[in-house]
Amino acid sequence: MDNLLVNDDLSGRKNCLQCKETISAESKFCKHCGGVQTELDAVSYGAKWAIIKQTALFYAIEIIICCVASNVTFFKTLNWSIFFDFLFAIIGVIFFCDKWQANRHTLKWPNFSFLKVCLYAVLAITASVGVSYCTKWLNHTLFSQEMYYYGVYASSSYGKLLMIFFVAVMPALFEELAFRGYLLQNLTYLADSKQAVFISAFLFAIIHMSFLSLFWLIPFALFIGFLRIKEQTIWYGVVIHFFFNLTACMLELNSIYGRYIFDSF
Amino acid sequence: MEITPNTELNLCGCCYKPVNIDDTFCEACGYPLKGSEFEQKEFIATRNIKESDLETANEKIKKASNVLYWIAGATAVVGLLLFMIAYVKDGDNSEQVATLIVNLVLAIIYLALASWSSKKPFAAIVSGFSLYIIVIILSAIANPVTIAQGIIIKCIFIGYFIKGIKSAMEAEDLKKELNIG
Repeated sequence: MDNLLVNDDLSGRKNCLQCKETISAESKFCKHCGGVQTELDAVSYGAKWAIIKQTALFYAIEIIICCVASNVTFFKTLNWSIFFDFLFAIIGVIFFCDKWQANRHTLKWPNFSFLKVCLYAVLAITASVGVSYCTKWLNHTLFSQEMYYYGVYASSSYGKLLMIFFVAVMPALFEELAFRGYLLQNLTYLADSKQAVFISAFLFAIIHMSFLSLFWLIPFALFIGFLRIKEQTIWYGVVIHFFFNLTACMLELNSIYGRYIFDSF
Repeated sequence: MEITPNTELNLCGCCYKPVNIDDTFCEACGYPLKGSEFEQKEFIATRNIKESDLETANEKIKKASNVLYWIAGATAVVGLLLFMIAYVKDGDNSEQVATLIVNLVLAIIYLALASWSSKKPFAAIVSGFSLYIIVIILSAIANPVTIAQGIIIKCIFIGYFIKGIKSAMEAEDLKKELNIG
């Protein structure tokens, strides 16, 4: 591909995508074989429709569970919260494994860089601090309410650990697997990568059912989505997601326990 | 016999763009310049069908895009009406203002997606459709009666969205085959 670009730049010519003969760089079709000079989709229209139906099924299940879990008072208990968290994780894993051959490459970590991991972790912590303070202020100003993750877990003697596990560890692993692994991979068969990243980010943001969170969740998911496409792995996203949520948890615990935050861990 | 490069220009029988007489196919539309009469007629017929399919797909995309505009307008108007009714009834309170802000921001999101659908129809319609479904589900959880309210309109909108998504995929494929846009 780089070679073709060099050819274009130097002489205004390129190679036909079909027959490899030399043609003008502006040609939309090859003058030798008639082949179109755009990359046609490898996936047929029928196959695309099947993918969209499966993706819609995945998202519909996620939406219904999310709506019920976060809006029905009966389910706002620790046991139900844990049940729904595991249900999310299981659904994500099932859909991911259903297309194992197509998705498994996202679990690999080519070009691992410790420096990048550290950089993204610092970026996630900084962003989380900013977002936590902004949303707290906006919630207080606009809606006159405070949002706490810890409320559900406070009743347990291991509340802090449970909170960190279910707010920082589980979403980082299983939301990334479901949204940047399964969903984004499926969308790349249906549209170009930019559209696929946007759709996955938008769907990820609105499923959180938090109006204010939309303003930071969309840029957050767009960033992780582009990173997933660029790096061909979900693991940088997992790192960012983990540190982002962990920081939010620690800030919340700090606001409750102050300097005694680590006492009952 | 001396061979000289032929630089004579003719017009393509399909797109009427200038072509070199040595070329086997038109570089602008892929028309078989040296094909048989049957091949040339078949090419034109196939291209016409694809162009017609693209036009139909674009019309369906436009309808889905219009649905997004309608939903944006309805969300804004209903939000304002509810705010005014509540304001007249109970006076000023922060909950009403918050509901109004949520409705107005939702309307802006729908409006932005509708406007974006002319450039990236697939992403815009899928996102708008998903948001619409989530709003319906959330309203139904808050008040189950709302699911039956305007059910016919909701079904029509959903139908337009599904057709719009299908057409956006179809249009994308056709544009690549015709190498346009």
